[in-house]
Amino acid sequence: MSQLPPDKVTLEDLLRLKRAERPPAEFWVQFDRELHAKQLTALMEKKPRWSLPTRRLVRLLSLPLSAATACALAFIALHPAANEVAQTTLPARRVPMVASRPEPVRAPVAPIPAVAVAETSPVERPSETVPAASRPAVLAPVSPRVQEAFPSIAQLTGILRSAAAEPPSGRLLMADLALKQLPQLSDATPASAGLEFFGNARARPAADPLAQVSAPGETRHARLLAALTDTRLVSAAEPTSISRTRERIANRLADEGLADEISRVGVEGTQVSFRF
Amino acid sequence: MDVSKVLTKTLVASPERRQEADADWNVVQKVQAGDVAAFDQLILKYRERLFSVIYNMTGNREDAADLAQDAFIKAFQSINRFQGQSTFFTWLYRIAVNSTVTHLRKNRLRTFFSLEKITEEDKAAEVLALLSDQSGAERGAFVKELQEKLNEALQKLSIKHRTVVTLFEIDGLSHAEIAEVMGCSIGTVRSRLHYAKQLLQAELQPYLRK
Repeated sequence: MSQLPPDKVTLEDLLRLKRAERPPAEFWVQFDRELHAKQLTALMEKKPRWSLPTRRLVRLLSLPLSAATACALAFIALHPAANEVAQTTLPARRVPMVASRPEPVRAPVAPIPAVAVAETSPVERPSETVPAASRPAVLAPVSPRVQEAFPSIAQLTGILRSAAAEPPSGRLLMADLALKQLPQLSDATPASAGLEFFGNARARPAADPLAQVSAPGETRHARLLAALTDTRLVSAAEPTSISRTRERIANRLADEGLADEISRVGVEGTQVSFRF
Repeated sequence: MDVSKVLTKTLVASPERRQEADADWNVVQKVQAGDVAAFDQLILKYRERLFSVIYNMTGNREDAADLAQDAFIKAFQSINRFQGQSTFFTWLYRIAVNSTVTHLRKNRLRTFFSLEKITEEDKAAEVLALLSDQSGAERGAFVKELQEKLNEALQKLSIKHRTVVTLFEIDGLSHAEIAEVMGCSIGTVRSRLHYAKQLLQAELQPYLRK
């Protein structure tokens, strides 16, 4: 459009006016100043050579890596086999033999026989009594045989073991609760049973106080029996055999004969003397 | 660069452009060799053209200045990666156009126009003389109004159409050069240019005299 025909203006002519829009000279001075400042800044803040490839690599791998991580987490969380593997690979932890929190009893509970009580409550000896405060409340783990035979005992032991970490008042409450959950032990009052368990670590069958009062002869008989069983049967392992032996001796010996036998034997230092 | 592009470039590029490209390549090699001050020659040579392109795309002087400066900085930082497969000015234009397109997309809703004064040189004075018989203050008001209408019509185009019109009609690049700068085919450039002109003609009908 070097030569314009008269009275004719085209679109190209109008757009050419835009080309004529130019900033003043002082604008370029400022432009150059700012550009040089930016250029210096760019020179000073030269990025390390590894930054661009690293950024590209991270951008490239971020999506597949995050997706793979999410898949792995979902697999571990949802897959049961993976759960088992994860549990076996975990560091060895002490697994309680009995659940610390009692599960609701579903199977019918068998009544506790006397033998079971004898197992858990050996003969009490006055010489062995230790103040409850000085004795640690340690409960031996329940053997699998006992667990099978008497699930309620195992359950009770589990509750009491978990209660051992509680303060005394908490222990008492937990023991009461445990005994209430076990109807077969209802012949003993819950509170007293709990106290006996945590105080003496032994369970005693409850008895009428009047029935416990005995005649002086009977007391002597019982003391002699205890002395005999202590000296002769101390190595017996089974508590049931101890009680049977006691019964046998009691039947065989009369009260007076037994007293005579004992009085004839004398022990002085390393010598043993018999009187005839 | 594939064979067709090289052929297109060779066929279209004029001898002046080829000489210009060779001169630019020599300066670029100096900068690559460590002569940082040599880059100033390239800035002085292309700053006005680059600013003009960006200014007509954005319609804002300050934005155009910032974007032009950023384009020069980016070119300076990446000059070691320039292998001379294209001419320096198309490479520089590509950087500037891409930056401007990104800026326009980000700030689509924020449009402030600051128009430069039209320097009434030969051609522009003739056009203005044809359009307006007035003189003095009235002529100034008419020129301002025409400027605003032109700017408004350009801003109504899409970014791609505006870029093509700016590069072809205002900056005077060839179809092949525009295709190289915009990374599209020459046919696409022509198509866009045709469509953009139709829209502009409809918008600027009152100022056209046939």
